[in-house]
Amino acid sequence: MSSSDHSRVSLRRAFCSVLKRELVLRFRRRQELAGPLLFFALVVVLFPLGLGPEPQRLAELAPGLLWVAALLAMLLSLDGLFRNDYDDGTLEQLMLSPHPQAPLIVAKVLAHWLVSGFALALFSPLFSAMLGLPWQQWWAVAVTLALGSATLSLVGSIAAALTLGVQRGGVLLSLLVLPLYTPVLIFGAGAAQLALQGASIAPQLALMGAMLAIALGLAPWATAAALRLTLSD
Amino acid sequence: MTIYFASLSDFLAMNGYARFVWPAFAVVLGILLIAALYGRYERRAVLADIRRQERRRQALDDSPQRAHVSTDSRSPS
Amino acid sequence: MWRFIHKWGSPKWFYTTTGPWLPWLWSAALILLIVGVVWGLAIAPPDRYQHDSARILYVHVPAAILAQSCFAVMAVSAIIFLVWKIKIADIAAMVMAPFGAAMTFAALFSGAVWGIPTWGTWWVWDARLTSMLIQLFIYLGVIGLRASFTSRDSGARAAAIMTLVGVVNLPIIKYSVVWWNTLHQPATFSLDKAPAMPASMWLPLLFSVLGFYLFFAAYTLTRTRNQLLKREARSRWVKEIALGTGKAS
Repeated sequence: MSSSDHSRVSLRRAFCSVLKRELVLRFRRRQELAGPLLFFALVVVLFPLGLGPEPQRLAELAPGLLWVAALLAMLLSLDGLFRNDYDDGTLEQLMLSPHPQAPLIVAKVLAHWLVSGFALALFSPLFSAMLGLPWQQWWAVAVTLALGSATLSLVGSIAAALTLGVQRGGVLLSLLVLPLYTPVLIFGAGAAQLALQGASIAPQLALMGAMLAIALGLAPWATAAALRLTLSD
Repeated sequence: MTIYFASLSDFLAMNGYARFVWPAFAVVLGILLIAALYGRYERRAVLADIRRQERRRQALDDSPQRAHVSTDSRSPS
Repeated sequence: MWRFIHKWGSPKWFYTTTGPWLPWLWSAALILLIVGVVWGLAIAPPDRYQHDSARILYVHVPAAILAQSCFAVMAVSAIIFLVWKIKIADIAAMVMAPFGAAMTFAALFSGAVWGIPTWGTWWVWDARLTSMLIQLFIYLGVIGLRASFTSRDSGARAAAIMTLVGVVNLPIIKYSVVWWNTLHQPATFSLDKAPAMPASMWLPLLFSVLGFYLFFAAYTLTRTRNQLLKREARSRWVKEIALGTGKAS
């Protein structure tokens, strides 16, 4: 990576140090780290209680249920994406850095995804099993969750940045984020459902990959603009 | 280019679809009507507001202790 | 180019220039709307299969088109506001948002009413309906985001960013029909092939759509001018307009 005149630290090193700092901080705050997973587990437990325990029926609904639960868990974790850094002023320092802001934001989002979406995907086989999915289908849920949740993190970062300066922005954050999440949900849950019927999910995965690429290309800039706005407020 | 319906009651009945056609038209065109009327109302309200503020400002200018009173009545931006 | 943009960015110039347009815009919108609606309701032949319920088309389709166009125009305004910092573009985007939301609702409502005799149900989880509902939520999100900021400028910029993010949703709405291809009919107008319906049906529809567009323009211009007066309340030319004193200076 090229290091420009006004910065002695290369962009690659800045990226890595932001990522490392995020991960260290997140692993120090264990309760927060467990938040999305715990929420995911609780919601998954609620569904059999609400729908009845028949394994056949649960297995049919499982891909959609797991996806909706993961979506809500991601939504819940979004506010923490910038909140602490905003409160203690670190965010301002990050935005003042001589590096382009978008890659640094990608580092933060990547850390967020690792401890939320990726962690959910890692643990999803456990919940797939609990909802009675045959073990051949566990990977489909896990793969679509891992791929889709990265898009969710990126898109969510825009809304999280926009609502950072807003008092009681919880409902507003949901209103902004959930409509934008629907395409990912449709393809993610749809692919997992297709895998249950034994069909190939390669086209869906390709489309989800395309959505991730678009989000990776556009979302960091929108987030940077939103953060500049919040910090200038 | 002729009227499709034979009579006014035919027109109103819409061959039995009146209870679908008329509410749909009423709601959509009603929304347009409300939007148009709101534009009119808003203009009057804004102008009245400006006049009221101007009168108050002039009244304050005329009063002796105007130095102690802020004339800024706009909301903070 | 630059001078052109700056001229349009000047509130007083904008207000005095667009003033004479308003009566023309409103009357043209009214005439086209009346022609389209009366033609659609009374003169156009009924659909062979849906009979007279198909007349809902003449308000449903324009509302749906406007619901999407309005968002596109808001996105353009958002870009103009973010890039050139022209406040009038932001005012226009602000007044357009509730109109777009209302049109989205109008399209959903008329579609639901139409669905009862045609599909036998007022709501199906079809791609078009669902994406329209999602679009309504996006409109509400943009409106809510702007309202939740205490600083007007921050609210304006946040709404502009959100509008641009939301515009990503528009192509998804458009192509959703192709993706899922369910109960709903494909798009009524398309660029590359002639409309499938007879001229006696699409001609009144064209009038109705144009009427809705002109109404949208007239409404937006009227309310933009109102809000402009409100924001510029302290400048001299606004006071002169409000107090009815001379046009000079």
